[in-house]
Formats: sequence, C-alpha cells, structure tokens
Amino acid sequence: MDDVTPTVRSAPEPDPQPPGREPGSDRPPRPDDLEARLKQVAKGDRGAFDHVYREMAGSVYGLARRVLRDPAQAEEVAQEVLVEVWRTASRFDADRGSARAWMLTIAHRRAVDRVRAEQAAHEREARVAASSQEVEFDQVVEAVETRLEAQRVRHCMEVLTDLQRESVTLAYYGGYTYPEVATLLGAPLGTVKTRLRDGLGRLRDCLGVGRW
Amino acid sequence: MVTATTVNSTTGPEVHALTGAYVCDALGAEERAAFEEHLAQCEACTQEVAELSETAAVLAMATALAPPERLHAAVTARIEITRQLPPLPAPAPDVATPGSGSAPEAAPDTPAAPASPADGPPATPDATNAADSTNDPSQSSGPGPGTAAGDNNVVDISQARSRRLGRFSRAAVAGWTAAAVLAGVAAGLGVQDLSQRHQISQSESHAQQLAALLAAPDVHVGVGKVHGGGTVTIVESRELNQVAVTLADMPTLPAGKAYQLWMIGPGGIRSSGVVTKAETNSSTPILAGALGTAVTLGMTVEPAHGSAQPTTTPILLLSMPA
Repeated sequence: MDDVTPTVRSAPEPDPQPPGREPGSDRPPRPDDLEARLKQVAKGDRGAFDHVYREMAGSVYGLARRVLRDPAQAEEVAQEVLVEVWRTASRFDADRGSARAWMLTIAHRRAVDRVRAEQAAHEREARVAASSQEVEFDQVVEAVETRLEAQRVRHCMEVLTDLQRESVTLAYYGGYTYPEVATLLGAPLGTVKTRLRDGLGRLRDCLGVGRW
Repeated sequence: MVTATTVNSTTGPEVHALTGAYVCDALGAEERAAFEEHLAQCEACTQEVAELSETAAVLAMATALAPPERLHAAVTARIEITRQLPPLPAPAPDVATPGSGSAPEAAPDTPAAPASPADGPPATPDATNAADSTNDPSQSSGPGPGTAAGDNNVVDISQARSRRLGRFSRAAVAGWTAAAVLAGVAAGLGVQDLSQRHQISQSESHAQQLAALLAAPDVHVGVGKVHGGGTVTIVESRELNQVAVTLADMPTLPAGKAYQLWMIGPGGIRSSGVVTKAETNSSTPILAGALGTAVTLGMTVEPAHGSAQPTTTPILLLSMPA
C-alpha cells in the first residue's frame, strides 16, 4: 500500500501524436511506453500502475460517462475497469494491439454492459421507439474540443456520410445495439451494420490509426 | 495461423460485416458470442477488429474528462486486495489465436469465451468480472468480507441482472455473501473468539483490509477514553460496513477475564468479539467485523471465553456516526 492517500490528478495529457499521421505506419511513431508500463503492472508494479492510471483514467472515466451519462455509475464502472486492468495486465498482448486500445475496449464493453443492465428490456425498446431521431451528434465532441483527440475525431467525423456518422455515434457513444440504431435512424439493419464497419474504417484512415 | 479459408464462403462476407458492430459493442449477447467464435478462426476479421479497435480507442480518448479525485484512492485501495492473474501458459499448438486473453481464467461454462485476439479480456467480461471477487480459481486467498469486496459485490450483482453470467459470477456473489454472513453469524453467536475472527480475516491480509478501510470515502475515525484506563480508537466506514479497533494503554485484566467488544444499534447488542491479551497490547488494529446498523461501539469486561450479552457495566461507549 504505497499510496492510499487521495491525490489530485489532472486529466491525462493529450496524446502528442500528430493528426494526419500517415496511415501506412505500422505503429505509432512514439513507441508508447504504456505497453512497457503494462508489462510492469503485470508483475505487480504499483508505481507502473499509477502511471497507467494517470495516463488512462481520464479516458476510461470520460468514456464511461459518455455512455452511461450518470456520473456515479461512470465512476463505478471506471473503478471496475481500472481494477480489471490491474488484475488482467498479464493478458495484455502488445502484438495484438495497443495498451490503450486494450484498456478502452474493456472500458467500453463494461460501460455498454452496464447501460444495458440498467434498462429493463421493454423500457429500452420503448425508449428507442419514442426517441427523436434528432440526436445531437456533435454534442459528443463539443465538450472536449480543446483536446487533440477530440479535434481529430471531430474533423474526421465530418468526413463520414451522415448515416455513417450517426450509426457510429449512436452505437459507440450511445451504447445502442445496431438493431436499435437501425430503429432510431429508420434504416435497414444490413445498412447500419455496413455503415458501422465502413464508417469506422473511414475514421481509421482519417485518424491515421495504424495497423497492429 | 488459421486463415480466412476456413470461413464458410456463404456466411463469410456477411459475418465479416459485423466487425464494425462488434467493435462498437453493438451486437446483442448471442450475436456477440457467435461473432467471437467466428473471430477465432478468421485471421482477416481479427486484423480488421484490431484496427477498428484502435480507431474506437481514439473515439474514446476524445471523451476524456478529469475523473473525481476519489477514484484514484478507491482504485489504489482495491488493487491492494486484488490478486493479479498469472501470465498465460504457452499457447497450445491447436489454438488458433494464441495469446488471446481468454482460456485459463475464463469460466469453462462461459459461452462467450473464445479466443478473440484484439480484446482478450473483454471477450470474457463475465468471467473476469466475477473473478474480481472471491471465486477466481487463481485466487485461492481472495478478498474476504468487508472492505472493498463490498463494492465488488455491488458491481457483481448489478451486472448479474442482465448479463449472461455463468455460474462464476453468481458464485462470486454468493461467496462474498457467505463471507459476510459468516462474519455476521460469528458476531451473532455472541462469542466471536480470536480463532473465528482469524478464519475470516485470513482470507485476505489484515493490512490490505485496513488499507481499503482507511481509503474509504466515508471513513470516520473516533477516539474514546476507557473507564478505568486506556484509549480505544476506531476507524469505520459505512460504505465498507467495516470497523477496525485499536486499544492502547489498557490495564491488564486478572486471569480469566477479557475485554469484549459490542456493536450496539437499534437491532440490539451483538458481540464483536473478545479481545485477546495479544490484541490488547498490540498496535495492530482489530478488524471488528460488520458494522451493520450499529451506532455505538461498547466494551465490557467479561469472562475470558466471552459472553453472549454484556454482563457488566460498559467501560466504553463510543458512538459511530451514521
């Protein structure tokens, strides 16, 4: 128990990766030391975990907050996710993806599972059916547009077609299943499925997210 | 590596189109499980999922917010009592996607536990979450009652409502509950001697429980003078439902007598255990068990084997704020 004293933590600094990095590059130009830290975490290194925490807690919490809306629930999920990172750090495989993608995949899954758990099925269906189709998509990035990632995401979202953008936004940030997205957008199921895939693909190219 | 040639040519393209929905966690439980099965055999899908997951990570980074400060303390306290999974053994040669994070820790009966490379752990959220609590097979001495296991319990139950949980999570919840009940029963018996208390606290390190207690957001510390000499300090958290007690400068009791702690509340008085001689003179806090609805900690002098209810006038009554 090195440090059980609450400490002031600032939000993680924006990732210094430049926008428009060439898509062909295999890995981020900066060999992110998050991967190395995570390996240390797997060996029980609390200092390394603290570094990972400082780097990732803002994104984990922010994502949970975006999906769940409720700050208290977001905090619970963030706590779960960060403890899960500690617990399963040995399962992280740098050959298969970046540390941050690994962690944020856990975070997103948890947040979405929680949001679905919170809503009784009928309630949710009613909500989907009753929801206005006019979803404020831009709201997603506006609150954080000072951040580099947010700027990049905002820029690249504009590159998408409306249906791609709406599908990705509702599914990823809204935590809706793709059939729900189809209902919300009044689009065929197969179309939404495809738009999620090619929308993310276009974002990948625009954001310059390299292959792993 | 198994290649895409194993993919059924008729279902292949259609299944393949689910990569985006999968990465967005936009598949229902069944479809997710089916896709993960497919993923384990489809190198091309695996690659695509990995790339799209990196893309989604940027979408996630764009949402970053400063978390509440207490999150750090809570996480720090919980990792103290959370045992880490050991590294995976070398992958079996017939595993299509070695290094995926599923096999050993996944519940054998968890259906959605295929090897899904780009996101090993999330492929088995049920099992991994369950293992946070008490029943992880690799966690033979996992968290016991009280402390942070308490909020694990909350989490597990809330998630258990809609997720397809294998018996793992349910067992985890049951395990925690059993531990809590054990503590309650031990206290309820009226006599909780040191050996019983040890049975409870052995399941996790005393120090770790204390760390979690001290880091609790609602931690309260109280100090009371004991009639006849000595000082009692309590550290309590309603949220963790836990009280730790330290005694200092306590007069030595005659042979055959011992100090006994009591939890006093609207439900009556229940024993929180006899304080042994060793504990009396130790600076190590005693984990006095579940707080429950108790609002006062009491102490009396009792026969060394303890009493079911107080038999002498309390020498300490220390209030514990709700």
